Amino acid sequence: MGETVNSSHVVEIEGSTSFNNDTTAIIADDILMDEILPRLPIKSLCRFKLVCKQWNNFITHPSHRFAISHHRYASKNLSNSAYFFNEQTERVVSIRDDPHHHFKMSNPTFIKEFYEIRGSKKYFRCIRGSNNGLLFGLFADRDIFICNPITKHVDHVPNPNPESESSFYIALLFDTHKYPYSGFKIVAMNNKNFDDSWLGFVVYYSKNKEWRQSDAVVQVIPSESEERIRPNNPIFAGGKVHWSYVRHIVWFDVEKDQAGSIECPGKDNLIFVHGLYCYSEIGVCDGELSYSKATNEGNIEIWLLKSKSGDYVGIEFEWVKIFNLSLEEIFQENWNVVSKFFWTRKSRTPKKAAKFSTKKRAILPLPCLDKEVVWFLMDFGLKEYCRNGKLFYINIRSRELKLLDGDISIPQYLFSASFLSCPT
Amino acid sequence: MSTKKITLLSSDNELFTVDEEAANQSLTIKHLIEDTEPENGVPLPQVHSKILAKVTEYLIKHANEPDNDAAAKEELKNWDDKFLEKVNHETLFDLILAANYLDIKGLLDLTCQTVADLMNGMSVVEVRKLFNIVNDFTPEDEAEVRKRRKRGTKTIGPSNDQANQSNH
Repeated sequence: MGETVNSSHVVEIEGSTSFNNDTTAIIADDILMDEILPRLPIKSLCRFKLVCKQWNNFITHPSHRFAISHHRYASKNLSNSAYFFNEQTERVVSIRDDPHHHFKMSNPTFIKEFYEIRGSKKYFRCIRGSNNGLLFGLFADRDIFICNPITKHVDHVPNPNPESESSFYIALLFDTHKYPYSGFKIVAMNNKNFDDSWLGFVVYYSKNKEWRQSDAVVQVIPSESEERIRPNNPIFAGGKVHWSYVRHIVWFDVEKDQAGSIECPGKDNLIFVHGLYCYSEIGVCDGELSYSKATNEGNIEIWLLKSKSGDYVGIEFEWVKIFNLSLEEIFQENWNVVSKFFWTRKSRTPKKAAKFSTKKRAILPLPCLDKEVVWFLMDFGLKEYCRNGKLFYINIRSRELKLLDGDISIPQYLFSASFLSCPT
Repeated sequence: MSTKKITLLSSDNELFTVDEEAANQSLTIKHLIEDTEPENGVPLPQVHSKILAKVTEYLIKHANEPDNDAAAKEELKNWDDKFLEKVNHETLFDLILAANYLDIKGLLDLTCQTVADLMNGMSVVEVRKLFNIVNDFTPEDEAEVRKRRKRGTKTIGPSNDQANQSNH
């Protein structure tokens, strides 16, 4: 490592009764720089720039190796924290089950400045998702960017097909555990024209800075206007990228160069309200693909895709329902939390409120990120084409229902686009 | 598997006996056995008996790591926490050095994470003291680093550069 200096710090602690002053321990710089400092959170690292010149230099100009190992440690506990970017307040809010961990990051100016560079201050639907702590987004359906919210570094990726007008869907693959030194990859999925139900893929390799066409194709089974539906945000799980359509989930495996589609679990209960289909969301929970949906019966169901061999072939995979939460029971047990939102005559009891929410499709499940908390959005406004909601979460063990931040009303497109996992 | 015993010899000539399986977690010991087939114990001149006692305690406990047993994993984790609970900073550093020299990944991870957690709650002055580092900043340098840290929250390196370039 370039930054390593051959001197060592001699440890000699005096004036403390618990230490034996006769011996001294020496921590070699390579152990300190390779093994200890990468384990510190970024906030502490910034603070410790003031320790000495060598540390300042090392932390300010980290080597590639340090950056990677820091990222690996930082992303170890990924599933326990999630962030979403609130466009209105321009803040990234961390959401966890423990309210003491809800904190607001200072203005993510890196995103703002990115748009200023692009000559626009609008960042409508900019963030498309995250993988392993990196955010990625698409601006005006044309410009791809990757950013690290911690280092505030923004990278641009050229459009795979600048000549074409057709839209495409992107996904980011950044697996520092499996491929520590290979950089990130971006998968772009497109259907060449809107009548064509065949989807193709191109993959960008950050190491070589080039796009490569994949041979894999997949057909989306056409059903009532399904082809007009934009797939939801991509989820990277079990080595594959997944996009959720209405009844199917399309997957693409970069390593094997294969693609396919699998059916969504549960009974088909698609209802078209306010021009939106989105009553289910996919996410990644303990490395497996999760599927959250609200049913006609007033339940929130969470499914996990269990795959025996890692392949989605034949009987090698199955959907397993891990939670089935009755909205009525949850409302009953936590009526003090929700009652103030159900003030109309038709929704004044937990039973009526649950029925009302189900029937009006006011409830929007969120991607399931861990096996302890289930998130959902409740839309009390029910205005057409403008679905703003309050963010609730249920603690599975205690069955407690909590409201995230009473002041925040989150547009539906926003949460689904920015429900991110980030290292702390 | 055979329960062959391995004898380890500390720098102050104390002998420690462990099962081969436990000893093999240390890649250094494993290679020493393979290469030299020592008869009177594996000589470890860099490790004092005080530290080697702790290291062998760790090796014995971690000899059979549970694969899928969540309860056993939890128990081992609790044991790890207890293992370093009453250890002072000096011993902790000695353990890091021993784990590094003996190439015991688990022990190195555990001890380094403990130091990192310790540092997390420390002030700059405390960290200097912990590693016996002399503050070599002049007051002007220090003010500059502080200033840059503050400004750093408002600017971004790469995209800012690009913004400047596009303005030219």
